[in-house]
Amino acid sequence: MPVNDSPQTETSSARSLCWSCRQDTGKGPFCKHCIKIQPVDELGNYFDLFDLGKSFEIDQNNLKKKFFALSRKFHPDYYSSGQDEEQKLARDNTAYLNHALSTLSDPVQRAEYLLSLVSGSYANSPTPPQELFEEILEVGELLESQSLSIDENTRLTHAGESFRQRQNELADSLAELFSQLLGGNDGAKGEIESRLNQIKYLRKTGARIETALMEKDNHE
Amino acid sequence: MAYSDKVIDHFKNPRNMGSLDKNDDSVGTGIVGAPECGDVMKLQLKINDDNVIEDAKFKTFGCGSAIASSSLATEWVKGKTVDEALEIKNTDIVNELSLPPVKIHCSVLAEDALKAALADYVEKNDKKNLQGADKKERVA
Repeated sequence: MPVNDSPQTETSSARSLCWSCRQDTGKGPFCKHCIKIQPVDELGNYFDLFDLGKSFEIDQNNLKKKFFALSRKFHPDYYSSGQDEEQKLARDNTAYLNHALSTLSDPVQRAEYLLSLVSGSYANSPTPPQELFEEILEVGELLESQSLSIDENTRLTHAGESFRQRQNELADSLAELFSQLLGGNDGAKGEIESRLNQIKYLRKTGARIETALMEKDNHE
Repeated sequence: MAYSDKVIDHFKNPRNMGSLDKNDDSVGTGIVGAPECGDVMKLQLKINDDNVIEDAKFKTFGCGSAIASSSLATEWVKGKTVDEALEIKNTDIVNELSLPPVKIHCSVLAEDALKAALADYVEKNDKKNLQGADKKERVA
């Protein structure tokens, strides 16, 4: 570390000093000296925020419990009569917390986030799944036709089920690949990216099928 | 968001929608997708021995802008040589269709599909040229 660094960077935590008492805040969301609210985005990552280990597999109930506990602590209403800085931090922390929850509860977002944490950036340039593309274009033709025969309707329903099932299977398979990646096997990254890519197409197309089937039901 | 009149026109009356035989050596096929929006675009070009694009077809699963972008691309490339078609940039599509910033990726997809189709044609025919010398002589 260069010797001419400013004094703040010499503290053990990455976070700067408490905005209120100018002392080391410790690692929690509140200063350990003056108990004032601190910016949680400086704590590290979303996993740290919820006190979870970096992993693709997350106990969603536990995540929600921790989310509710933290959101009570940061609720802007509690700070409405506080200093401007406290009000601002309550809003910022709440926004950060909401974003953290939505990222970690969704398998695709969680996977992308974890990838970016582990390997710096998320490239998103795997080989395009050509066979899946062909399949999607077939589904697209069914979706475009104004009226579907009973047979076509069944095909569309089956396609929707198949897309959902494959999406879930691929998402489940990510857990094992991530534990390999976190265990130091960098080779797992490409496979994760490729599966993530497929999940995204399956998910979008699946959603479009569902919407179309719902609309067609309503017309009948 | 409001679509421009040109987008609506291409969306309602898509030009060159359909397929060509992808096993035909004179046909180049490009299928590309955008994982973020789930759009998939297939563009096919039938190219004659003078490297002129005789026919173009597309099939797009996506939003109105994606359909319009691919429809416009097929309209533009017909009658062009392979080299001329390679000059087409996504920004040309953006300008022609007045696509808003959030829809620029649709035009990128169309350019990618076009490039992929041309690359597929070139690859197919390079292979053919390597296999038989008579084709090479005819070109020369």
